Amino acid sequence: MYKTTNQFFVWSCYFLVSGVLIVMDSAAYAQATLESVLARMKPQTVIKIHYRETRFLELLDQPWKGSGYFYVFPDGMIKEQWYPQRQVMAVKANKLYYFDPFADVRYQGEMEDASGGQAIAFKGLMAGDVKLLQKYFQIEFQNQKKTWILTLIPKQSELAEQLSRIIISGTVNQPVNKIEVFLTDGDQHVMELKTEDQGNQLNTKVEQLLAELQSKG
Amino acid sequence: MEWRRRWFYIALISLIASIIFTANFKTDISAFFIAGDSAEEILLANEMQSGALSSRYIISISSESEAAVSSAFTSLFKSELANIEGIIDVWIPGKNTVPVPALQKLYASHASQIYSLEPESYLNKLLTEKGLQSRAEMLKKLLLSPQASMIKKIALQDPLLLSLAGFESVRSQFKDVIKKDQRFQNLILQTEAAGLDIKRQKRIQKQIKELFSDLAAKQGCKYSLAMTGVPVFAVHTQQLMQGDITRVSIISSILITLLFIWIFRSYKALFWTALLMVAVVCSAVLVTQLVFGYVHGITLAVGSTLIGICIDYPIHALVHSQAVTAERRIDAISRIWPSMMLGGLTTLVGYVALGFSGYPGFQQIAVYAGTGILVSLLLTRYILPAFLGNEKTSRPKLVFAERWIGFCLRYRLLLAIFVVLLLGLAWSNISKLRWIEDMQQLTPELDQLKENDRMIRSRMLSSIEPGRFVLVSGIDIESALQKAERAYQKLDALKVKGELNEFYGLYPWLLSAKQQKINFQTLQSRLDDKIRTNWKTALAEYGLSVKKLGQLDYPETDFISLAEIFDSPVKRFIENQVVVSEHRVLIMIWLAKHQPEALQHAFLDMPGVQYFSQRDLLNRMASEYQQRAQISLLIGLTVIVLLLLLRYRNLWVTFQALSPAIIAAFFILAGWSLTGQAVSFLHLVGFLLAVAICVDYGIFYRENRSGNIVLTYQAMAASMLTSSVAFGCLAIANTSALQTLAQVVALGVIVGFLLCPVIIHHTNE
Repeated sequence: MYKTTNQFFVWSCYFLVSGVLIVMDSAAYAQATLESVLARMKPQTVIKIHYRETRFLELLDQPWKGSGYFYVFPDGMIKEQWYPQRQVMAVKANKLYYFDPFADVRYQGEMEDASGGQAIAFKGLMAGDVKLLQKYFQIEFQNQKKTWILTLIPKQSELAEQLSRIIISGTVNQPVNKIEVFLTDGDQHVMELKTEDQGNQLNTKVEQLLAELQSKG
Repeated sequence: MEWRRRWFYIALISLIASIIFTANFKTDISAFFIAGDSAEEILLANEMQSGALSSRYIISISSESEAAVSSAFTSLFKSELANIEGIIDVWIPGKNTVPVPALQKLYASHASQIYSLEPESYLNKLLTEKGLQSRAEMLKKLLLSPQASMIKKIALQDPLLLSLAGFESVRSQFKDVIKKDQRFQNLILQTEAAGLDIKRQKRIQKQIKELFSDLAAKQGCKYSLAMTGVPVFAVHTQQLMQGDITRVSIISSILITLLFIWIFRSYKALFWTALLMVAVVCSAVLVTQLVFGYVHGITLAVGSTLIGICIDYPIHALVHSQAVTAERRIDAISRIWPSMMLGGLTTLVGYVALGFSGYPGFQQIAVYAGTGILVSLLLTRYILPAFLGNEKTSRPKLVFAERWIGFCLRYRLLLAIFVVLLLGLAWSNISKLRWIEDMQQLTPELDQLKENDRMIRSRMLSSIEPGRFVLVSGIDIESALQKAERAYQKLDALKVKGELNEFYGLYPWLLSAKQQKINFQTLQSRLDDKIRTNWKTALAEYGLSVKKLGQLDYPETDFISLAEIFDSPVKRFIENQVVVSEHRVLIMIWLAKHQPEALQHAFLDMPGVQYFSQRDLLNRMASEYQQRAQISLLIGLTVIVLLLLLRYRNLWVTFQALSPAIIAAFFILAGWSLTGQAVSFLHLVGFLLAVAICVDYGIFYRENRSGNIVLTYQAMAASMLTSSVAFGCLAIANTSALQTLAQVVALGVIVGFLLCPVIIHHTNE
């Protein structure tokens, strides 16, 4: 019973935010308003992004390191972790999927199961709905000379209980290259990103991964 | 006589006023619900009527095409449903929607008490060097998993993750979600009101349907909605009954009024009789109210047939009194009074026996009808004469009665031989009589709802078999939990043998205090220095913080209790498995696919634990009702025979008076045998009523107190017509129980009436 979608959801929330923000064109920040930037957030094709993740966890003696790829596409995204071991996780439409081939553990759930408010907030991000996003997050946007920083601070109590803030940063004319997630219990996740490929040739890979996640196991 | 009339008016007004101010009419079906015999069955029946299970709906959305039901639509519908007043919770079945903080808050601090039902063997595996290493590995995995945040909170209190041990078994639920048919989506809905709170449930059902139609129209979805659950059955049954009550009451009142006018052609006579009948119904309502504290709608519906019975006495009085001159009318009534009283008593016996048939609602009908018959008899004898005026002498024009009695008197021998032959034929067929063994067959009007229920439940992800479970009973929750824990061991053994696929008890949600204590003591005795060192080594090996997780401190805390769970969001998961009353606690262990005989046999040596099948219970009840109805029938007949014997002090005369009723009833039984119609206890109840009413005809015909057999038969014809019309009207009801009564009694009284001049020989014709 402990494998509930609630925690899964919170975890996937920042995964989703990360994924959505990865594809933001930093140049847009330098010139446009937040509304117009968010309106352009939805990717038109599949984007493959390599990531390196470091988790600073209170209960681990050493920081944990992982790496893999994000596949971001129009109505969702997939995170395929390759190191230290393979794990696949996806958000598509309203559904969340998780598959750990080593432990043979699968999850599938509705985003609304955990919290309607949170799901709506992230749907807002996906759809570029600033009003909805502002309802659930306090948004701070700093545009400096060479870099920009976007900070999302949850307003909604359930999300705020676990998530302190998300800081997304990048350099002007470059895509997002760093996402930092700060949890209320003091733990911290840092993700460094680099776009590797994009285009419809990645569709087959996305379909394979989704089929793997949706298979009956 | 004038003073009697005045007193009658005053009494009638007082009666009506008392009813207005005191009567409490109910239409919910709880009073007529089937109750069990044992304490467990009664408690369970109550739970089915008003417990958490009763107030739950299963709502099913189905796609009208092959397309899947959109999860966005389901989510929207779900959140909108929660806004309907009276709905306290909505969730998707099979999903792990336990609020995680509640789970962590509730169980992490009790880890050392709840980790296993077999602590020794569990710890034997866990506390080895290898076991601890694998636990450290699991802890690390979980700390890096999507549940990291919750696991961290748990691990700080419970580093060995003992509190999660029992919940491992629920993991497979997510796999089930993936396997389901996407064209359907079920939701569970919990209402605040009890399932039998018809008024509120009716409003909720209407709002659910309206909400669904609105949303489907707005979203452009081609979906259909179906729902099931106790409230759905309750509302449907109540609507069915309310329709029956209204229809039967109105139609039978109109028909009896028209019949009365046709027979007597006198509005004055109609008015007097109507006044008497109002007094009869008011008295019956008032006495029923005094005895039971309320009057049920079904009592009024079945009781409406009472008018058809009670009106017989004024009819006899009117037929005989109007046939003589004004000054001889009171004498005429006095003369037939002994026959009326005996006839009334025999009918009363029928209704009293009905009260003992075991069907809970019939007790009220018995009191209602018994009062009505007594009051009608007394009013006919002492009040009706006060209303009789100086109208001209007349006789009812019931030509068919005159012709039939004339025909019977002429060809009595031939007709008697014909009846004997028919009896022989009936006797040869009686052995083919078939009894209804499945109680479900008594309510064919609910077949569509039952099919709907089956269809919706088949779409559920759960493998739980509905209506069959292991029932554990104890004087308090602790004793029930201890018995349940012994039952889990038996069930585990059955699983190993392949006789049971799975079972769902209260573990891991709740354990007995005794088991919690054993778990705690066992753990404390096993956590020695060596194990603590091994644990630290394992932590270090997997890069986990020895400083934060190395101390295996499991302090003693209060035992987790049912009250604590019921006070948390976890309540939803077990509330439908526990029934708590003042003196008894029931625990239901749900079962997946199983072999009933193996389960029945397994608990024979465990007092307070039994395999329970709702369907078997209902069928056992049907069989018990049938036996009781047979006993009631026998007792009723014996009392009627004794009454007649007491009156006539002659066996042959008694037999003559009784035989039209008995032969009529026998013909009906033979008719059921020939047509292959299965018979239930309700048929027997109707059979008894038919006999009780028909005996009146035998008495009147045999005694012929007016000295004019044609006049007596005319009076009997009038009373037969009102009785058969009153009972016949029940045939237009949709409730099959009422239809059965209509069929049996109406047919019985007609045949009994026709047989009187054939069977009873009259000397003064």
